[in-house]
Amino acid sequence: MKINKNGIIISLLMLSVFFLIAALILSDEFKTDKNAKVILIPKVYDESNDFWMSLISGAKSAAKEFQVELTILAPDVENDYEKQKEYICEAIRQKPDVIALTPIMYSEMTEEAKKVKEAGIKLILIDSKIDEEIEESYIGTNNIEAGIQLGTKMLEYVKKDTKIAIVSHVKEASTAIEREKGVREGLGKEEGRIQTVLYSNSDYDQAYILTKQLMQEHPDIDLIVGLNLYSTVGVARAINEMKLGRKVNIVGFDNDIEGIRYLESGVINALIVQKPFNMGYFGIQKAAEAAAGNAVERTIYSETEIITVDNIYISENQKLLFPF
Amino acid sequence: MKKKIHFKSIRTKMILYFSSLVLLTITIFMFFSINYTKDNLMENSAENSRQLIEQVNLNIENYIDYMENISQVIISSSNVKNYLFHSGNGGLDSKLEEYFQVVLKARKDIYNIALYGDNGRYFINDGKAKRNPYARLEKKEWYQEAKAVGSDIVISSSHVQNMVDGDYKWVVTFSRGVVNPQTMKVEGLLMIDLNYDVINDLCGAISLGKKGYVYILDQKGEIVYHPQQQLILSGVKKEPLEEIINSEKSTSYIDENGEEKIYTPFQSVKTGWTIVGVVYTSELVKNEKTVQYMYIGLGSVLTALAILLAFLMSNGITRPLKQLKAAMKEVQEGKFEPVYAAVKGDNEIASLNRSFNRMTEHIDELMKKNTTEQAEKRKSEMKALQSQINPHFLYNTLDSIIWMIETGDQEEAILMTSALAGFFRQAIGKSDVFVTIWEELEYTKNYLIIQQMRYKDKIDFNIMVNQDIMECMIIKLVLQPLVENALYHGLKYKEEKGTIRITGYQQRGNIVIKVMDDGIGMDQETLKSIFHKKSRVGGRYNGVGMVNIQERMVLYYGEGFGLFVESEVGIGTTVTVTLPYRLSEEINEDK
Repeated sequence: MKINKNGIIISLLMLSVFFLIAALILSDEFKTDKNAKVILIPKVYDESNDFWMSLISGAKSAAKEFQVELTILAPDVENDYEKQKEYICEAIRQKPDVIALTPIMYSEMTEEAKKVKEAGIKLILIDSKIDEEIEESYIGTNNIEAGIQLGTKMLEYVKKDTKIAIVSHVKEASTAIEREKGVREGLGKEEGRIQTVLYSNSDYDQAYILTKQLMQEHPDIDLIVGLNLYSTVGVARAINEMKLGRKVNIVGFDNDIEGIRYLESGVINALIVQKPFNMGYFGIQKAAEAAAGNAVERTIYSETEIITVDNIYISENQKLLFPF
Repeated sequence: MKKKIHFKSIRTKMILYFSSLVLLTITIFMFFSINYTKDNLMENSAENSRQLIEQVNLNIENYIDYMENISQVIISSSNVKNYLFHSGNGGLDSKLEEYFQVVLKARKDIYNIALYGDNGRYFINDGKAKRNPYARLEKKEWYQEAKAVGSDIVISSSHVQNMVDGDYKWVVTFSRGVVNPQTMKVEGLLMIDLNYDVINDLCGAISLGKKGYVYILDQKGEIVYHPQQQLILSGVKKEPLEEIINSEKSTSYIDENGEEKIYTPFQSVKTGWTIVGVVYTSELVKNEKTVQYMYIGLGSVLTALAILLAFLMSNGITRPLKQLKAAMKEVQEGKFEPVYAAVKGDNEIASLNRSFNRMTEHIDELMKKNTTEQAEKRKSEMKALQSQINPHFLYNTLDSIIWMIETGDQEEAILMTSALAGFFRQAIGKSDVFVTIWEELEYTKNYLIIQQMRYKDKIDFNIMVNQDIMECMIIKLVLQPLVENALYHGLKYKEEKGTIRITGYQQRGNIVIKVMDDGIGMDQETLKSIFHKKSRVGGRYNGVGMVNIQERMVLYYGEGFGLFVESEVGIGTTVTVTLPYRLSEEINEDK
């Protein structure tokens, strides 16, 4: 009877060891199975806005590939930064591993961004920065580099008597400063041809009006560079209306359908486009890495591409210009 | 200590052996079957991918079939030809419009239907759509190809269609040359744009695990559909493009993140496209892990079963063994008769048990025999002792002493008394069965001295025993009774003085002692009857009878030892005692 008891104990021991090993392997498995939770807060969710839809689609693609549980909280209208602040607080309440933010304002939302850090949530910034470097990683376009790229392209349109005008957007905005700096660098020794720098305040109409005034005051200007979409398209509208398309060359940043039509019709000569899909993808990829506790690069630059009428429809660019 | 013994028990051993055997078997089994299942899983996944992809292909080919039919109908229509190649055709616009609208309304997946003539005439959708003046269709690859091919259908890759003013949509264009019936040459082009969403949805809906996906390449290796087209086109991600078109089998590649993926291509004959299903190996491995857990579970259950079985089997073996052990213990403690280990059956242990039972019975028998023998021995000894304290001998001797004292023969009296004392000291004092030959001889000598003094001129004696056997053991009361017999049966009836001689020596490992007298002797008949218990000579007459001595010798020494009597009438009698050569210690051990 005693032997019986001992035998049972031995067998139970062996079994429990067996199950322990199995449980260990299983628990290990469950650990890796746990998906990182990431909340993406873009500037806007608007199906007609190709840039942001493309960025979100890139984020979703990465979420699928890296098995990230992705939630998107976005204002319906771009530049609604109060709404975006609310979403940041809402995101903190949901306790994700990472918040991926594309801040609408440079300084107004720093406080909220700090709260994210305080809550022990990792912060990743996409597209734009804030005035303090508290993010885990920043993914965006290198605006100086893009400016250089465009400035270099502009050299092709520089003729003997060429005079250049810059239509920027917001005087103190980091992107405006960086892009202008880049363009000047790209132009190199031709920088001196720049006659004036105007600010559209990110408004089509203001850009349009400014351009009309500019052309009346400086009819000799034959190369205009727009530093963002509003400036570029506003310039193109004015030049097209003034039937100066053949005379004045326009280059600019970013694209929409209107911009592409001007590009097709030859009003705009070259556009430099960003790669929002890639930004969204990298943003979530880095978020997944950060959530796993890995060190991520502090800055990841997404490339830009120069588009002219000749390469709109090559396969590399179609998807950039027409994401859907 | 207990635990150690326990670990050596058959049950523990069996459990250990059984479990290790099961575990080993399962490990080997697991190893082979997991390898097998891995291949199997790869194959299954490839097969699964292939089936899904074939479905995608089937759907795409359905569209193509439909496009082919429509385009065939359109290009053969005389209205179309007339519209394109004859100027001044008033009512044809509305006819074409009606025609195209029917198709466009029936099929939401068709985005544009357009006719272009080399002569510049065109008709798009409802006829009212404006042509994009900057479309530059002639620069598009698919347009050039369609022109080159003629009236066969040409399927473009996915692209943005910009031929309608202000309209930019992702489509796949089916184009076909339209033949001018007058010149019999291809002078126009029909284009049908399939909404790209169709392919997007078709491919997006395919589920190849959580992470897997489908992509499509055209004949040139350009991407028709890929969920991460932007990443690939900007070089962030790499995907096997040309390699896949040329391969027919599933192949695995490792991507830039170090993830292994299995690519299963499928070539569509109709479109020339290659549809590729991509599955992440890690997801398959996850399934494989499930299989491993199944094996581990199975292993646990089987081990448990093995342990149970080992229990039952070892019980079957150890229970009878334990019974046997218990029985043996009883035997060890001295119980013989009631101990019978009852093991039924025919196996080895049962037969062992039967042998054990037989052995016990045998031992029991021997024990009984031994007990009887012991009793007999005691009886003989008692008899010997009783006979030794024969009162007549004492009376006679004491009479002789009294007579000696009366006659003043003091010295003789002292000698006799001391001989008598010595005699009795030995006869009564020592209770041992065995004595040394020396002691036995002393005893005999005392006796002889007493008798010699009583029958002065009648007896003479002579003891010549080798010194080397003096320390050997002999049963008490062997020699003295023989001497007594010699006196009373041999010398007593002789007229002259008689002599008793005792010799002793070693012979072939035994001891031989001879008691010889030169008395009257015996005839053969008397000699024969000596060992009959009831004979007068052998029986109890005075002292210990020959029969008693012989019985005792056989009891203690076994057959082959004992007395041998030779006698001749008128010459004398010789009794030869043969006993084993044993020193004192050996005797003690025997006890």
